[in-house]
Amino acid sequence: MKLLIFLLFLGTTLLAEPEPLSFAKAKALRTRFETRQRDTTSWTATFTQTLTMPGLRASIASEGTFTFRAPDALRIEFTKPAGELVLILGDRFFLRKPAKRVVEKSLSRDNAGKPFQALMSLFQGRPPENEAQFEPRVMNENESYIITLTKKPEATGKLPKRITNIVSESTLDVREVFVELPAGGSLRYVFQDPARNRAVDANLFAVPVEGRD
Amino acid sequence: MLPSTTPRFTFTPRHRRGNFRSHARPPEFPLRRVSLLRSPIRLLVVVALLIGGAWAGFTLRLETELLPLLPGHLPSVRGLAEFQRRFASEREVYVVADPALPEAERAFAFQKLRPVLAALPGVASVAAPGEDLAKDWPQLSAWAVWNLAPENFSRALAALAPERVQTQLAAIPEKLAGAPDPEELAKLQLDPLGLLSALGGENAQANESTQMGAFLSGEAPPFLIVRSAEPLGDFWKCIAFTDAVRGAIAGQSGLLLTGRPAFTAEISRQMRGDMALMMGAASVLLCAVFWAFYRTLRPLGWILFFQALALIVGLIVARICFGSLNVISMGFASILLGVSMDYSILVYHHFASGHDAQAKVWALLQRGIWFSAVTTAASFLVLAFSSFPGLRELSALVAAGLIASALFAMWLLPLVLRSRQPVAPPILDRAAQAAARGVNRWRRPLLAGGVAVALLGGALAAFRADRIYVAGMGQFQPASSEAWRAQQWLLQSDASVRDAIYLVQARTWEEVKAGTSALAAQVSGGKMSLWSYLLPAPANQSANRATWPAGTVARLRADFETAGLGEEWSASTLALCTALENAAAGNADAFRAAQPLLSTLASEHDGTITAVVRLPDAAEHPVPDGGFAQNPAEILPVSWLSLGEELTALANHDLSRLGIWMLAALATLCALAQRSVRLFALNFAALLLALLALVVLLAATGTNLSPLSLLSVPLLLGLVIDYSLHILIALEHSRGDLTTTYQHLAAPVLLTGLSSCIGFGAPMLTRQPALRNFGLVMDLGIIAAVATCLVLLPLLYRATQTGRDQNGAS
Repeated sequence: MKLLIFLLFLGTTLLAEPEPLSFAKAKALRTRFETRQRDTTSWTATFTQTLTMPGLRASIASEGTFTFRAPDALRIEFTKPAGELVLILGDRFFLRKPAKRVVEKSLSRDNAGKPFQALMSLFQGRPPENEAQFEPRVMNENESYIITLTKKPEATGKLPKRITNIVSESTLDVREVFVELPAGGSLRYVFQDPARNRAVDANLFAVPVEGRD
Repeated sequence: MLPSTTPRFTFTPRHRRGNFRSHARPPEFPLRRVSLLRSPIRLLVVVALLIGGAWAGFTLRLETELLPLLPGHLPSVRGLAEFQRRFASEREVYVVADPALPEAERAFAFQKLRPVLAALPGVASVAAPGEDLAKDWPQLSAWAVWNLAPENFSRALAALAPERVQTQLAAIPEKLAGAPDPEELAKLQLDPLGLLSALGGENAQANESTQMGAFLSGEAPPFLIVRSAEPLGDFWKCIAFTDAVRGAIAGQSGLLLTGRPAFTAEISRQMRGDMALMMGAASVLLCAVFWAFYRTLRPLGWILFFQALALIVGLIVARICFGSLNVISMGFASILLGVSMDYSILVYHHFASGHDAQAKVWALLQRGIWFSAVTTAASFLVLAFSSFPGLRELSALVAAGLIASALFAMWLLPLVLRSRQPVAPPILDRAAQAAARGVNRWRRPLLAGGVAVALLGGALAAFRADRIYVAGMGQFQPASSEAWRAQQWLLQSDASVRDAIYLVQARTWEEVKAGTSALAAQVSGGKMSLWSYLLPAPANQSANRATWPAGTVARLRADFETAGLGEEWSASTLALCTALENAAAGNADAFRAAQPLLSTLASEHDGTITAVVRLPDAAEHPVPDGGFAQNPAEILPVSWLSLGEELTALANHDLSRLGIWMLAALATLCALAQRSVRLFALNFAALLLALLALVVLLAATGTNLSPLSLLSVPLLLGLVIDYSLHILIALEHSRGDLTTTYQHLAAPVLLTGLSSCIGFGAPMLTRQPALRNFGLVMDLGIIAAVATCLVLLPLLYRATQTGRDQNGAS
């Protein structure tokens, strides 16, 4: 019987979903978050990226450093796989795979830039381009806000099924981004040691030159 | 010495007040009230013509295709015609989204449109770019591998070697680490073993696989391909199909149509609208000008009726000689009727100015009209030796119309005019006299001006020829065209639009393959689109069958399972290898699923194989400088760009070849008409001066000659000879008396010049920049011709008069 009561307690604790915030509170939170992001000059963190895919037995982990510089620059330097680099300067998107040459693409027009567009809008404190295609929901749990964007049934195109952003309640730092991919599988970013408005080396955002970066 | 201003005709005081009809009439040509109804033979001819016209109208086949108008021996004409006839992509209309449209809106619009478009009658399919390729990818890629040269096929087999497969599969997680790229991810799932790198290595351009990758990654397509179930062979079918598609996308902003049917429909619709506008504007302006000169419109009705009869003669000739008529030839023929109006106006002026009773004057006028009509018709008939079937058709139509028009002006029109005598307004006579006085008074400055214009024109022709004649048609890009704008959008969003397309024809597949490789080496540095690897190579198939290792599929399936990769990763590779294994086992249906798409790439008829070959990024320059090198196969470009270049080269060649013939015909007929070296030289001096004046006018207005407006040169030769013949005959008759000559000819030459300006200038109202340029060049040429013949030619005539002639004139 004790075991049954314990299991019931565990079940209600773990499975019961917290209530979503009211519309007014969610709106106020959004305004606070956007204002905070717009006041941000830089944001750095280390991160872990985890990719799962259907038909793939194990998930694939990558690690690195994430550096955002307002208004529109982002550098993602991977330590695993070592040597991989993503650099975004406005609409210019530079990608260097390990032991390969740097290639330049367009953030908005090329497929390779698409996954990073939503990340950029999050750190820039502005709504994503396809916001209207998603149903938002905000919850407050464990000193965090959990913002979930669920693809509307009538939405078109192969958009993510759901995007979940977890934001610290006190600092409004982004802790985690979880994307459920349209064809199954997911992509998760977990950020650690965030630092806001710290001085950033300008050289990190110089246009990569072959052989230098 | 000034010539006497005394007219050779007897004018009464009343005439000086302007009534030309009051002078005495010689008894040999009494005025009678004659009408068409009282002349049974002529009435019979008119009725016969009307019946013949009705027969021709009902039985004449109206050709609506553009390509039959162009020389069939040109490689681009053959390429386009063959491509249109044998391959389906000429049935495709592209619904293109504005690249500025956000992806979500584009995706929403296309998702909504697809079922609507697919449900349209006559639509065979609707697809996104890369969709067809993605659907049949395993079988298509298997087919491409199956036809590889044995040395490349062994590279593909090496990628399937057990150790290599295990290494590749083990490396997949590593490849997925780092920055995620949906397109790369999709490609990795399609070909995790890198099997397709055997398809030519660096020479395989990946425009199609990029399209397919974009499709598989779920990106909203930049355009949709709507295919017609039936061939869109003519204007009407293109219009009906594009209208149906346009109706379906109505209300969606940021979407436009392009593709061959869209261009054809747009141009033909514009041509129809423009032709109606041209005819309407030309008719109204002609009426206005005629009324301004003669204060009446009634005779104009008869003149237009006889012009219609002349057109009917043209129709009957076209029916008998060709059996068909192209709508474009009809459009130009209707414009050219402006030239034949001259004869009726000259006859009308002759009667209105009261000279109808003077048989000698009438005989002179008839002689002038006959020579003029024959000379102009001969200059048009020279076009019958042109390389362009469209021009050959046009030349017969116009030459017949001109001769008929001259005949009706002198044989039928007088009957009508005599039954109700016309009267010219007195102001015409006074204006002619004033003009003659002015030209006499200012003859030295006018002659000096003429010399200056000639020198300037000569200098411009010698040193600025490149600005006067611009060979390309690029300056006339239809920027306002919807299909053209959509094509520009397509160029931004779809790299395969920059592919050059060719038909490679040979007797064997080996020759086609060798020809394709040689072509690629010459045009695109050896790069070929993936489609080029889908051409069959029977010899390679036999060699590859022997080397395929049996049991490969079962082994691969086990390897995928061992590597922990599910069917999402193995399905494509296993399907590809299954097709290869089936083919190696002699299964005839091994590639059945790919057959519909493969049939759009090559066909075999009467022992000749025709293959469609695409070379990446060569669309802007499909034919290398110096043409195609020696090739085992015949290469036919499927390109409107190369067609334009070939047509320009041929038009230039035709112009120099036919120009000599035309000049010879003009010289012979002028010599026959004038029978005087001096008058013959004056004829040609007027011709040269008019052409030099045209050069000056072109430079002054910043207009240049294009390959199309170059056609105006032979037409202008005919017009100048026409005017100068009449002026010289009148000057000879009046022994250089300018007043008499102007009284006879100033008004009709001015009026015919104006009517020609209206007729030829009408294309300036169209939306086709090339036609507008043609109209402007023609009008500038007519202005130069009229000014030269009315002002400079009489002065030159007077300057070259001998003393005896001048005494005679006095």
